[in-house]
Amino acid sequence: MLKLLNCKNRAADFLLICLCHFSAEASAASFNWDKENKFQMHGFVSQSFIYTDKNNFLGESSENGSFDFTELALNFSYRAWDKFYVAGQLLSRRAGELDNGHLAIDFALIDYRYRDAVDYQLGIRAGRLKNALGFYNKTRDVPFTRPSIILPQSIYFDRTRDLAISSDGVQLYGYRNLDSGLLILELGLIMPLMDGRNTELAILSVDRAGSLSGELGSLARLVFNTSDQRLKVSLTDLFLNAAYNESGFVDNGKFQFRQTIFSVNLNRGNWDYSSEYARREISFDGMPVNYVPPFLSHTTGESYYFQTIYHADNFWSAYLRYDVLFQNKKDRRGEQYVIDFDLFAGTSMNKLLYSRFAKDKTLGVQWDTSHALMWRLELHVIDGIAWLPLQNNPNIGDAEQRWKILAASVSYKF
Amino acid sequence: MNIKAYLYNIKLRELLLCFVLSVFASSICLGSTLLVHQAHAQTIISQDSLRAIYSMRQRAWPDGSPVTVFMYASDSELHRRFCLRDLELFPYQLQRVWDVLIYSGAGQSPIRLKSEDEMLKKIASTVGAIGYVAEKEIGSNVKIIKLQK
Repeated sequence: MLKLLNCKNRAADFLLICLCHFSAEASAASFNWDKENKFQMHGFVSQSFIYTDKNNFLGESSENGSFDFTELALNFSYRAWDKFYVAGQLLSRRAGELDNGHLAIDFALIDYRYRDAVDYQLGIRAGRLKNALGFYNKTRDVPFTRPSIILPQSIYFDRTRDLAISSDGVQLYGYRNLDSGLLILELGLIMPLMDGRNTELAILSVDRAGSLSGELGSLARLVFNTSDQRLKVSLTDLFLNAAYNESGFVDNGKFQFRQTIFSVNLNRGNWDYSSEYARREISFDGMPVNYVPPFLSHTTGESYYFQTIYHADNFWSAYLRYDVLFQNKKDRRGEQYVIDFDLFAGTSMNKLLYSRFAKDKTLGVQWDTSHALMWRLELHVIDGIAWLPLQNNPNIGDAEQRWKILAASVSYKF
Repeated sequence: MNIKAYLYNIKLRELLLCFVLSVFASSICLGSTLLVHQAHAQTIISQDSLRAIYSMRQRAWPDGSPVTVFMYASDSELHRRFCLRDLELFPYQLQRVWDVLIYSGAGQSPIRLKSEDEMLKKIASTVGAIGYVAEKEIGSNVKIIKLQK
């Protein structure tokens, strides 16, 4: 497997060496100098193979398949004093043209636990924090916590991943034990991380000459989990703000993004059912019309999926999902978009119809060889290209409406 | 006897053995023996509290001292039984909770130990520790805490 990884990036190589080196040591409960067991280190490495019959996903996948999807992480945590806790994670992700494997600080935070009673806990975290959106976002890069190799893209876009993944800020959190279950509330003020071409492509569709800069936004999440963990519901509300500036041309253009996600998970022994619904409001102000055409200045999109996981035993499970995304909930098939586009640009772009939606049927199997080693194989049958990353498909006019992804992965953690 | 019939016979015997063992096990193994450090004041712990501690949410005891949580390998029978009978959670559910905490920076995982001997030693030497063993007979270096469901 190490041969397959063949990371060109030195930083990622370094992380991989650390991972291999430490994984043996970390399996011992603690380090010699850490008599009180306050320090912990964990990590994972995952390699995927992706083949698509048409279009490219996370690499040049449509020719003979691609091994360009590699994920590595190493994290540390330390209970510094009774009420303080610090943690950090380095992450390297190689995913075709989306990510080149460079080492990034995924999170680096300090956590102060103000109250630690039996029936409630209250605390505050500050630093670079993971964005807790829906069920999966905060650990979306961890194969062991996501339900499949490729997350439901309608909500967890890989295309806008850089923006979604983490942000700098401060978060108040509280847990409340009730007779019926556990209530979790997280309230955060966040500055989105907006450096890079991916974010610009995600927001403006084109890498423009100016630059986007993040402004203060908020993230709130409320979760209720029954004591037996059979039912879990959550409500997430994200509000992102950014400014676009291009000297001499655009002065203080505004971008606002609001996403609300409602999530439900039902667990019945071997069967696990999940569904999430997301509503996205995107609005631009003060942007030139050739950057953001008037008919795209305020849009509301929606997404949802239904997912079933069957745990056959401790080693085998299978999953099935139907995942849908509409870029504009009032124009689900993209017909109005094509008309508007034709009027605006003066050219006919019928192919754009299917860039406005995507429906993905997924079937997969998972084999946990041990608690640390996991294999997956999955098939996606997709109609539409709304979440297809532009980075590996530079000419969107060449993209095909109906396509399939076959993905396989092996993941190891310690 | 041909090979197919032979294999079938073995399978049948295995199945029967499994069945007998599981009935036997369920009647005698009601749960694990929960242990805490000798200096710990509490003698009873609620299931909610035990879940909060093993979900790594509650980091301190009611007196404010930090909790140190011990466990065995997640694929061990000791761990499985503790999850199913004492916490009444599936092992994979608990594993998911820990993975989310660890990889989002929200907390740590319990400390994995190799044997019951090591568990007894660790609990005896760590103030604020909690753990469990299968047997009911234990030395005087640790204290039993009763689970109230």
